[in-house]
Amino acid sequence: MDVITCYKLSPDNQDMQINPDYTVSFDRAEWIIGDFDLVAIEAGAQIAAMAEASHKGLCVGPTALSNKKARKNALSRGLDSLTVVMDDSLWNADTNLTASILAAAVRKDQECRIVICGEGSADFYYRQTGMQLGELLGWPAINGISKVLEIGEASVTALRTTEDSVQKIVIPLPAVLSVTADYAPSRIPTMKDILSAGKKPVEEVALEDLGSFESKVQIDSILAPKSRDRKGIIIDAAVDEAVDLFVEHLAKEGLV
Amino acid sequence: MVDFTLTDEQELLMEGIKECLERELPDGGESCYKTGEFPWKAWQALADNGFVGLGLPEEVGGTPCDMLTLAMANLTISRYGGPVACFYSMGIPTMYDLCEFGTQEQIDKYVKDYVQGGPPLALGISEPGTGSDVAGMQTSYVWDGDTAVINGGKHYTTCGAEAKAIIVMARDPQVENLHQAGTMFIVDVDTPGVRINKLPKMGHTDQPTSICEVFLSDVRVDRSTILGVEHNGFMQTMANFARERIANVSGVIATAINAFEDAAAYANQRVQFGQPIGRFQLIQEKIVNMAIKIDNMMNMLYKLAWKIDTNQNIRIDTGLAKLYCSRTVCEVLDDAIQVLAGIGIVGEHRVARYYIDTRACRIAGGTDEVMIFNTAPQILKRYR
Repeated sequence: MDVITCYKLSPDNQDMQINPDYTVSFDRAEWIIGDFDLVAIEAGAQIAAMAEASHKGLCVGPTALSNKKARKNALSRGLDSLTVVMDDSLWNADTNLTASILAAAVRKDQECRIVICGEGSADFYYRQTGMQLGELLGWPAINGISKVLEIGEASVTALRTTEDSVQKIVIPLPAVLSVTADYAPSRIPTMKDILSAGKKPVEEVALEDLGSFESKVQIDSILAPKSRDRKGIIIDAAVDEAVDLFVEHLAKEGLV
Repeated sequence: MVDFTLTDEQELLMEGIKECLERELPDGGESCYKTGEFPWKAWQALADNGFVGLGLPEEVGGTPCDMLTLAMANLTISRYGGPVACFYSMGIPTMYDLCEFGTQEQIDKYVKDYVQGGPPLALGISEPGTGSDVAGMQTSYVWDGDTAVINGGKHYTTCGAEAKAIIVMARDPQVENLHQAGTMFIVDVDTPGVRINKLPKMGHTDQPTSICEVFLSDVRVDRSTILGVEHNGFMQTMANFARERIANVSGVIATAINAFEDAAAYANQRVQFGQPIGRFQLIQEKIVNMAIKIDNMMNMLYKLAWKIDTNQNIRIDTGLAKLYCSRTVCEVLDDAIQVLAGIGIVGEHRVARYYIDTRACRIAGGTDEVMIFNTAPQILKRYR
């Protein structure tokens, strides 16, 4: 059996620059694996170990994915191999486009019975890709998986955490599981993991080899909110009076 | 072309160490300096991830690496690990000594324990009456059959209270040439006759890692505790000297970077006379000077590590790097305190702690004066 974990490489928000026209530039940003996806890779590694399966990474995105360090980073955290689908047309790909390409790549692996996704991506956090991937594959897709308890030939028993309950559910295989952000702390790669990551197999798949895909959503622009100057109001009063004055100022601004 | 690029593996290693320490010591270990407790859990996490055994042979559970990688690892641990860095810096020279000169039994007992999360060995070289002047060493041993009886005392023994054993240098009074009289013994701290006292340090009386005085009174150890060859102790001390210097230098650079970053962030944040103080040229001058000095120190570290990795003579370079970086970190800290001003001297700002603690780096591991004394003749010799 193969367990495939999908992860996204996205520009580090800390390196984001806001231009004077409020457009957002990621030109100098380092491309990183988001925290949710690091947890997904760890969950995938644990689930693959339970199932005595191979653990394969799958990543779809623009040519920034050619970054060898980012690949080694993923491979040092519990993946046995990695498949990368790169094309510059995939910059800001919507969830349906991403899920369609992932589905095409997953279909190529006849041994795959479980696909793991993170809770959401680090950049847009739409939390849609896993669900749409399941739909496109025709597999059950369950989100909120906080623990996999048992893996059988035909099903997985898992805990699903919702806002007010924890459900114990049996999911028929094959399936797509989106795991919660607290499924397990992502592992810190050991020195040996880091050194062996560069020797693990990486397959680059051309987008056209998987079929033709089109985006369902067109993004016209991504703009940062306009910054406003601070009012510089300092309230110097006793607590009760200060609260009243504070609320008064908020009311003046139409905020309460 | 000179290439300063770290490899992917080196970068991932530093990120891994940082991630590990930020997870285990979110405050960078600062709280340990208030409680006086060593963060064993963080040290164990570093060991579990194979970072403690970095540079040591695979047979003991380590991962061999070049000197630049080891230097960068020590710098990263020193930046994010607080007192953990003291263990790591002590481990670098002592564990290499053990791997190079120790018997299999000694390696199995001490190095494997260290790699798995045990403390480093302490080094008992300096004495109340002597430090770099080995000829003045008073601690001595005599043989009683196959048992060495050691008497004397050691001073300024770093991690003496945390270590399970101390590498004690003792002289054989029967050997006239003092440079050929020293023998290294590995003395377990629970050996009868060993007494260890923690010494109060400048600015702090209760630290998570200790500096100790060690009393050795009729300490009886058998021949198997000799590290290396009898009477070869002083030569052995010199063998892994470069590693100790790398630990010294990378450790102080880490302190300088942390202090600089605190000062620069504060210069952007602190508003006086209607603008951040970073817009005033006198503050800018300090920021620029600190940045230049850190760059200089980093370049010296890179070059020193590169020379070691390419088997070049580093006799002069180690002394220059130790001297320059020990002095320069103190200058950087002084500027950082000046930028931080009030918050740098009241409360519990880490830069205030650095300012007090780091003064010792101009003394520990060889004073500035000894660095000059040892290095200047080597430089002058080139021009005779």
